[in-house]
Amino acid sequence: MSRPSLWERIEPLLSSVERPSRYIGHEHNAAPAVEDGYHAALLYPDTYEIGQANQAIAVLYDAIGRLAGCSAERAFLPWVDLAHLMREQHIPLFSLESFAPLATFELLGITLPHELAATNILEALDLAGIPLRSAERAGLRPLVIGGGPCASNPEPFAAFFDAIALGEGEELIGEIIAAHRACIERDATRAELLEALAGIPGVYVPSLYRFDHETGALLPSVRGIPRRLEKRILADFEHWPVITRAIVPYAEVAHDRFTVEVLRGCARGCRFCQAGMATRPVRERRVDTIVAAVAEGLACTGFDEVSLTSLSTTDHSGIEELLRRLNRMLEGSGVGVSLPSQRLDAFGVEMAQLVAGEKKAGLTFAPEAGTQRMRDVINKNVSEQDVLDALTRAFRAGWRRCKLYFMIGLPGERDEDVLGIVSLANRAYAAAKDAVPERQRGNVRMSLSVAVFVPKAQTPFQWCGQTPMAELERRIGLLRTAGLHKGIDLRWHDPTSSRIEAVLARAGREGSKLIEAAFRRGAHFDAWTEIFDGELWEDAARSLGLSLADAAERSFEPGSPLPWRHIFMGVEEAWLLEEHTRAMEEKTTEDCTLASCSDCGCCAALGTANDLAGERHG
Amino acid sequence: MAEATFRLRMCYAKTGRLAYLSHLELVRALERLIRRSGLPFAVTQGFSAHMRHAPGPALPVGTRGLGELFDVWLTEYVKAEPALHALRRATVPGLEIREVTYVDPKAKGLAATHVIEDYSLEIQLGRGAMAEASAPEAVGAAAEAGAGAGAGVGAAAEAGAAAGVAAGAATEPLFLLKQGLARLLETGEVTIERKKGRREQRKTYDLRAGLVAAPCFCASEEAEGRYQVAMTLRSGPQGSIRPDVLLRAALAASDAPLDLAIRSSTRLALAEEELAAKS
Repeated sequence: MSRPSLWERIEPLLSSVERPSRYIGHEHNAAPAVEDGYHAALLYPDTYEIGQANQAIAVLYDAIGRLAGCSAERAFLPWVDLAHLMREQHIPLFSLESFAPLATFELLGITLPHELAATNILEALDLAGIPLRSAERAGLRPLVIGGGPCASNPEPFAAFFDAIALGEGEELIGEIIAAHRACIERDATRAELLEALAGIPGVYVPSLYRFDHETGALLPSVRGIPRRLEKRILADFEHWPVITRAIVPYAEVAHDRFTVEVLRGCARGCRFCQAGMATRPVRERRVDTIVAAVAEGLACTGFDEVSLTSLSTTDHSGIEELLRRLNRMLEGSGVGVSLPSQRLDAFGVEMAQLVAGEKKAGLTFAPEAGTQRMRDVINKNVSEQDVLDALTRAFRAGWRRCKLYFMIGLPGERDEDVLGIVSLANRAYAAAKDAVPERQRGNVRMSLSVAVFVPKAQTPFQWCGQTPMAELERRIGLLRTAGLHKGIDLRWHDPTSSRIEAVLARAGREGSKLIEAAFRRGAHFDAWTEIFDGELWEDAARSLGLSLADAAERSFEPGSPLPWRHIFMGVEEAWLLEEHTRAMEEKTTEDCTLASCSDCGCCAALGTANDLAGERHG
Repeated sequence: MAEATFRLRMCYAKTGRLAYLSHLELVRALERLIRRSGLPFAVTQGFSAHMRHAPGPALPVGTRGLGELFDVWLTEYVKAEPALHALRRATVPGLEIREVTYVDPKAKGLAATHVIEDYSLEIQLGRGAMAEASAPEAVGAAAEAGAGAGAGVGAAAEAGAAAGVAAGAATEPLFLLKQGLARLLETGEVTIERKKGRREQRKTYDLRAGLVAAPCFCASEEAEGRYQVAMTLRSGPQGSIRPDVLLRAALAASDAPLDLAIRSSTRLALAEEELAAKS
């Protein structure tokens, strides 16, 4: 298929839209498209600023670029101003490398980053002129594939994708492309293509699974494809090349820096956390590998900051050595090192101190719950003393600002737990002030950010309903009137959008209809508070005879068939149920990278194991 | 920390897609290319260590720059030629490093000094109904008057154009624009209102100092109402008026129901002292 460039038509629009630099492409290290060959487009369903630094896109971009005769290009959603002009002038959604229409690619891969991106996926397909539903598409291309965090429960997205990739994509993407190319070469039918894909471990082809009314489960409708779909992992994470030729954006983007993923997976076992359940086992890159990657990456990008990312960077067994070596290497270069979040103890602050230098902007801590009882329920293994010690140390060391993250609406939450958030914050504030010389106490800033708990698939809380909206509002009222020190800035999350997250996180295939109905009513950019309109979703649900409240608040009976039961993201349902029971009994479970195996089933089922660079600091 | 003793002045061109970079984005792109080049740049000391540099005056988004300036301080002397090569190797398409020279490290910063800016624009002048000619930011009364009057005049536009010649030069778009400019020059200053978020900002520019050479217009044969405009502006510590803003203000001052679209805009900037040294 010939691939025209749409640049000549886009450029005249750029002087009338906000931030035109996000549409120009051609950044340093962006890879040129192959002339003839296999073209893959990778789309992040939000704007360039939000999506450009996304690591999943970067990893797949790099992996596809290594395949012979293949090239990957990026695409993002244009902001509403340009989208409007594009529709008016019939310009389809394009890639940033060659400005080719997305419909001319062999493959369109879309990241499923979070539930509130659902309507943006449809907005992207619609702008691209690609039929929204897989069943409405014909032929072999473009093959529309999804993957990412929301693949833990792919059902609400099932109708829109030809296939959904489960788990880590480094190796899987090559297998998908190889199968697709073979089908194109032999001029296979679309049905043959879908079956070929379904035969690849880790690939879920929703159209080949049907709802079985007898068992209430989704079962294969053709022979030879698995009943249980297991996620893929990159077992040899240490030897997979680190991306050093990272794209250097012109526009200011979120996380505008060089990034090295220092470890993958987290075994802390926080019971609300989907990522901590779905990314096991834990694999650490070696300190030598990371230091070399930082040196090379900075030299070929010119970034002035490097971020060491993962779900829990300060848990890396070699973190102290790593930070000391980076400090020596980067001295006098004006390059800063950043850690995504702080571990809630003195060691965490010590590590933050190592990288902060003179610049002590602010620290972020997530105790998540206000009482020890509630922290035991969610398996957040920190004590109040840990929190106070960490803050004292941080404010003594020179920090003056900190942000505390909590959740309300957690399973089994009582009023005393909500009030406990306020009293913990007040004690934390007092500890911070005490740690600061008297004349500087006026500079102490603390903010309290309270999110609403969203039950997620593949977690011990997957059976729990979300707390009803009116009750959430009452608890927010409690927070506001419980005597929080007036020096602490309180912010809370809007329960309306959290409810939609809860609905989609645990929906079955009816979720696709809901997403499409909301999109048809104009819902898009739902994660942007200035655009989000909950009424569109309510109306969409009504039109389908659904109730958002019922769907969000619904509890599943343990043992009942969950909509995502055919998906295995690394932890066995039996273990999740055990963890659920332990939560209700307020019993904690230890991290298997520090203590013995808790038998989640990951290593046994996937034939893998934790791979640590050394002994971890408990 | 090594002392920053050498001040390297880069003269560069920003063309093609990179015309759409904002000033901040451009500064960041330059910083990153200097880091990639491996030149021994100096780092400031203090709370937030960063590369020591001084950018020239901001270029409006969408404007190409043919000779723009950027100073960076080095800790070691690198001969101009190898420095230029290192920068060229590290740069991106659309950002061409044209030459580098060393300047007195104690000289005033480029933002504090006067820079002479030669602009050449291609504009389209018309009567109303030029929908695609929306400006990146509304310039107070000019945009409003243009849009409001446009609808009313729209129907009569064709008849007006035919009658234009007969009615004489007094209603000719270019004449009206020039008349507006003359009015502005008479008062010697121009006040621009612009919305920044919810706030309204007012800024008054001194045209006697800011306008070195008044705009000169040259009709293009490509389309009616299209002109090449050349003008020379001086930017100083108080900033400088943008050429498109000046032309729109002139239209507003003439009370003419006209639309103006900037089709392209290019600038050549030079520090005044260097200009003097060259001539």
